[in-house]
Amino acid sequence: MSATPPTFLWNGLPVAVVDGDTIAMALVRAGVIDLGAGVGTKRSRYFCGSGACQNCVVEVKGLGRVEACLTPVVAGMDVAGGRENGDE
Amino acid sequence: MNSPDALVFGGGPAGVAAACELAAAGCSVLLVHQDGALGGPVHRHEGDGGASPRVAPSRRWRRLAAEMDGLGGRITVRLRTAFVGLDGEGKFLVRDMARNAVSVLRAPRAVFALGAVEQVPPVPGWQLPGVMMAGGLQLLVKGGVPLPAKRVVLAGSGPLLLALAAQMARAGHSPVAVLEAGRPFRVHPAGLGLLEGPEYLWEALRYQAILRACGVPYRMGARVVSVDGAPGALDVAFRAGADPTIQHLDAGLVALHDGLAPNDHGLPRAGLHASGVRIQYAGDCREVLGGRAAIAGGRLAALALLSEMGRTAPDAAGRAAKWERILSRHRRIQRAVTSLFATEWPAPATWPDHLVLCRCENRTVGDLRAVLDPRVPSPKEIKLVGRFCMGECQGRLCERSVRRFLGDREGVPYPAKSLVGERWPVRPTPITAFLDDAGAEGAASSVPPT
Repeated sequence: MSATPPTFLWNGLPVAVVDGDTIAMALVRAGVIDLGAGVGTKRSRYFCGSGACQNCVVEVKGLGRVEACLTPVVAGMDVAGGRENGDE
Repeated sequence: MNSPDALVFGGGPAGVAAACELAAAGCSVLLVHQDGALGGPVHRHEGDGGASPRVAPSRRWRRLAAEMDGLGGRITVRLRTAFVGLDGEGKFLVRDMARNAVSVLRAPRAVFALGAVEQVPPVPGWQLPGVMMAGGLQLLVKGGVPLPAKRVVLAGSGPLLLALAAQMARAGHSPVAVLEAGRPFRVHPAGLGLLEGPEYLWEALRYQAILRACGVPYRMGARVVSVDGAPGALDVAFRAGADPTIQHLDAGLVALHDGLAPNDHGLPRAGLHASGVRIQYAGDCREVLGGRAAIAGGRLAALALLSEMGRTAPDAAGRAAKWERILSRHRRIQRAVTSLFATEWPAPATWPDHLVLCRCENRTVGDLRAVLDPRVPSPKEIKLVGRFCMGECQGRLCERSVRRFLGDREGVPYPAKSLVGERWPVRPTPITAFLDDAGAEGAASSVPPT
């Protein structure tokens, strides 16, 4: 039994995992609203919560690009926001 | 179970009712649901395993869940799985959300019960972080997520704003104000239609009482004009009634809403698919009548499939008539609700050039005007030159506004489905998801055109 609460990585920084949360919920819990660079001057962000708008797509190591609002958060997950590769 | 007698997509009340009805007639059913627990956004189940307060299920939902449990092993539930497409050979492609991998299911018939999708008034600034759909905010509130901003403004139009404001107030995080563009609580002949649905009336009055008790201003006739600023420090501009003066509210978060529409974007049409698969729609996915009507709608969709199979129970006609009556009643109630919340949004001719229409690629009203000059081009040109309805949301968020703009300019409605049609994948799906070996039948053999 470890006293340390489970976490996942958001852009390299640990964020607490709450059971039943999606990645988006866990990020909002941690106060993260801006999910990094989007197209042009636009930012990535949580919007519809249901996978419709695709505005909260993040990069999860091992999973690829997924909707933060639909993807259950798992301890140890490595999540990056924005479009660092600039390929889209 | 990769080849059941029937597939049901969507585990809300309509989907579960359809699954129960099919299973009760002896069919094996695979119920596929995108979320981690059954129940739509209204009937979200408790017991996701979370420590956070989740919403208790309604009696209606508990009854339905018990009915499903009583049907033994005939219904198999597959959670965290979303519909991606149906190919010409009758292969259903689904995406496992937790693994981000696509697998194949087969069934000779399917029910789509994917619920409703929220509509949002496109206002300048709606693309900013901190601005979200009311339904998106509701998911956070119901999930027990503490909001990262004290001041929350709900704006737009529709009963959901009232319900959400009351839920927030009860959860101890009252919104600063509700800016409801319509005037639902005025005396209006349309309101008489609500007498047929006293449960809706009671619900609305109960919400209003909560807002009054918590001191939340519910401003009718207040139309949001724009949102500006930075995350956490947003400025909501609005007009109250006919007063031309622009008023302002500070907000950390803003939720927008403008009613609901069937969540049928890109789905294969109801009826006989080219692959031979029989398809029915149910619940809000077919017609937005709310959760109370969804159960009757789900059962009717199942009966339609069963009758095509030649499995019509002796009492089927009587039961179908009963469910049709329920739908008719809710249709009349919804019509009344729609006219009570009727809202005049600004005419497209007055939309400012900087208003973002396409949230995916940041395409603005000015960009659309530039494509239109001097004539209204074909849907293909709107898409390929204008790059509208071409982003990752596949037109879900801009199609309605773009069509409205074009129709206004032409003086005739721009044809529905001209900018978006039926095509799959219905969601952006990474090619790698198709390459991963997933279901029993394995991965799809080819990558579909997008």
